[in-house]
Amino acid sequence: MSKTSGSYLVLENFIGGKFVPCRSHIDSYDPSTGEVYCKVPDSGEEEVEAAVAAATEAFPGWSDRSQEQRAQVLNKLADLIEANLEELAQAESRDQGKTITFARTADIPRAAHNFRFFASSMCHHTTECSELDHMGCLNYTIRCPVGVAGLISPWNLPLYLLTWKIAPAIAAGNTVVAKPSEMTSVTAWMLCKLMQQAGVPPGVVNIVFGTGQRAGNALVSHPEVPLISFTGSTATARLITERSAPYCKKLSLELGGKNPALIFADADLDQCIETTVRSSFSNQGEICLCTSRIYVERSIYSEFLEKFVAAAKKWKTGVPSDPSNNNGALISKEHLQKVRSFIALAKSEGGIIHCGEGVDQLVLPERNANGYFMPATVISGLPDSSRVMQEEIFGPVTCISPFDTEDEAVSKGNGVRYGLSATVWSRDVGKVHRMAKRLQAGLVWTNCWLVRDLNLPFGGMKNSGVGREGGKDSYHFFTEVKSVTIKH
Amino acid sequence: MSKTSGSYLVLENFIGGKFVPCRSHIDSYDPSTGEVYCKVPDSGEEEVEAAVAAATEAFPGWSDRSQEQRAQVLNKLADLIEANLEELAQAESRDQGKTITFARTADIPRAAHNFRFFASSMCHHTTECSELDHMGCLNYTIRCPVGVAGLISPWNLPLYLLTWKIAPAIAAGNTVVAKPSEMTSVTAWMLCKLMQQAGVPPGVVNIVFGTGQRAGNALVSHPEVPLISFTGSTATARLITERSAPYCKKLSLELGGKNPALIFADADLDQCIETTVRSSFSNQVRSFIALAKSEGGIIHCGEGVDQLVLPERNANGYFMPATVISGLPDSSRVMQEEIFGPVTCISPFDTEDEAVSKGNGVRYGLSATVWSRDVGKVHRMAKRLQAGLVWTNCWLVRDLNLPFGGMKNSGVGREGGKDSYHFFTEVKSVTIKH
Repeated sequence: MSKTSGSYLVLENFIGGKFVPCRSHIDSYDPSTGEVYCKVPDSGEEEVEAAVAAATEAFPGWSDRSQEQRAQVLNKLADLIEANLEELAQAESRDQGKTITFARTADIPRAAHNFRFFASSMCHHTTECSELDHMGCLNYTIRCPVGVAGLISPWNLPLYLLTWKIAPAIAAGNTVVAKPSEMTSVTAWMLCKLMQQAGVPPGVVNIVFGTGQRAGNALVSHPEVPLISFTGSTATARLITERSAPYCKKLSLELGGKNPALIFADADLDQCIETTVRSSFSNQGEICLCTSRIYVERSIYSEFLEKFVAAAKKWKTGVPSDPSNNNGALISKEHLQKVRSFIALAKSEGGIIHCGEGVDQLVLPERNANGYFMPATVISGLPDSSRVMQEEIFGPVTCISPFDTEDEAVSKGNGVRYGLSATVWSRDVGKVHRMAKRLQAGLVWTNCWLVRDLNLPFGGMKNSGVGREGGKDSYHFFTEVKSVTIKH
Repeated sequence: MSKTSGSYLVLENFIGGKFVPCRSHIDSYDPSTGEVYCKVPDSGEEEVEAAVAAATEAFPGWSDRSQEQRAQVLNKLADLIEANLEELAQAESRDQGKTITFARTADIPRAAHNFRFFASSMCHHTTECSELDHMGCLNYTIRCPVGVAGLISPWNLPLYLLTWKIAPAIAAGNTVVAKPSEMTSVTAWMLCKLMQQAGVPPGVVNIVFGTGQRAGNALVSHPEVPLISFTGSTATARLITERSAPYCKKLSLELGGKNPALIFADADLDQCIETTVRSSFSNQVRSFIALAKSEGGIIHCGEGVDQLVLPERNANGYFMPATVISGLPDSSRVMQEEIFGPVTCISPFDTEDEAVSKGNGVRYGLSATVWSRDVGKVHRMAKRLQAGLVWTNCWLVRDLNLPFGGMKNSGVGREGGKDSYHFFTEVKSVTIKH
């Protein structure tokens, strides 16, 4: 199944229920040391073609099973993920750079929960019916799986977001060809072993490892893959849309964010700060829902800034394996450089770095000297037009800025091309509901962050994406609907 | 927990998580022998009061648990029912008179499934929201459990129908006082032991055994029991409605039926007959046959025509063979009233309109089956029949997500999926002017 080549972990593609070696590989790094430790298949058209063929062959049998039969398999897989939680968490932490604590408490439990959630929710949907009495007609809708679902998942929450796509896709009766990020492929590969044990029939889920440019491109351009669910950058989404355009594919694109927190003078400041530190820096700031712009009502601005910086300084960055650390390493050398470049840009534009990069020294063990670490960084004094305030940084960096009126808070909050999430802090009922109504974001949290009812729609407005997933929305996305009219 | 008094099985009430003996008892018979084998508590107001008090006390803690926490307990209970399937099936068959096969394959598996179904479906409901933009208002609905749910279940599918009520009631966060039929109380009592093992907290489900007239009456009349779900006869439902009337109780009444099968000339006759035999005779009780004879009906087989051969020990059991009657006018009481036995009446019709009016020509409206291959006929009949459930070219195919219940005198209200969620909760419409 895997060969260790030297001391490397060598992954293999998983096609038609078997592990299949690949001719060439991509280096995958341990972000906490900057060293290559894993070899990921560098798949291309040939491997994707084999996977699509396997998925196509497995589709009739899998889609013919009853909802309950499929649910049983998903629940078994959830059990196995839970039984292997520690091993999966260790692997995820090593592969991604996130802390072992985050992997143990967020990533892996959510992966199991994704399977349980869709196993049960898919058993309870109903469709619609109407009558056209005067025409003697009955109309009703029925839904059927689309066929082979192409799933492309990112490197920030690898197993969590991969399973968030696989679970509804196969629960609805589709078969899958998935292409995880080449930077974080290990837990996906481990999942394949668990899928074999769980009785997922061969070909129902196929995983093809590789880059977006080769494997991803082959998948989105494949004529026999009618549906693509992608989570990643807005730039890549554009390519996906263009490449899939000839085939009228259903697309669900979950992209970036530049999510604001709007903090009013009547906010519960202590609770707000505690939560906003978490929402700014969790997972090294590498969550599409992280808060990257904090707007504070002027009357409490100084107090907020002082308290927030003090709290940010307590957010510990260090080796991922130390359970007391809040942050580990960023995903890659390139990404660390990119985030650092935003900090340099901020400085050049007159921003003040209150803590973090260039201000506080990280103390790291010798073996982690070449890891991709950056401490929690807080910046103020930038104009809204700054690139640092407009573009997604996706690192442990947040920018703070004052506002005076509610209208200003709204226009600042909305003043970017993204629209994924927003948080509003105020005790006033009117303010909270008005802000929720006016903010251009697919998810609005008031006096909290990342509270998720998976039954409700998840997704972004504007350049943050197209489509929604979750509960009924995933059921709708992963099926085709047919309207039937019976004239009686 | 139970004492054998002589050779009787003596049941006890289950209140506040404990088995509680009762002062007086009702005899319960083994229908296959006609002999008393079980003693059922003859509860009254005092026992019901204690149960309601226990349920009231348990309500805050149980309703405060998350949906997922409650689902875990329900799933555990389902596991235990499955683990004890054979013992429960034997007990149900002995108590009710039904075949061991029916108990093993229908009754007990459905009891487990009821808990699993509501454990998961209750985790996926959403409520509604709307805006009145011009008024600067947001409206949304939220639902909350009602409190103590009063559940009264019948003797035909004892554990199956008791759990069909308990599961959604407690999944939605309510606590329960249940009164099963005094004629078939054994599996309910066995369920109590399993509930203890499953970690159902004390007082969340209380079972008070007894008659409709004493225990049932006390329950439906209790001011602190705001909701009653009842399955049984139309006659008893009337009493329940009258007794609960002063308190504006939410009522779900699943009553009788006089369900027609409408069989057209283009029906797949073999499949139709096989299914219609199953749908006519799947349970057994008492006789209307003499009436049919006196009204000029012809008995083609069964009661009075074919002799049943039974072992000595079953000589006094309550057996009747599958009986088919024809030649009765639609106005006959045998054609109008619910018999609830292994008896069916066959009659011809000429036109589709006649089939509809004959099918609808009773005061009941629970279910109907239509046999025809013609798409138009099947959909037109479904549209025109006054029945809460219409099956075409099949019988008893149940998606528990869809509404179940009857029209006309077959009842009030619907249960299943969203309907049970709606029935077992109170809805609040909230308007926020922002």
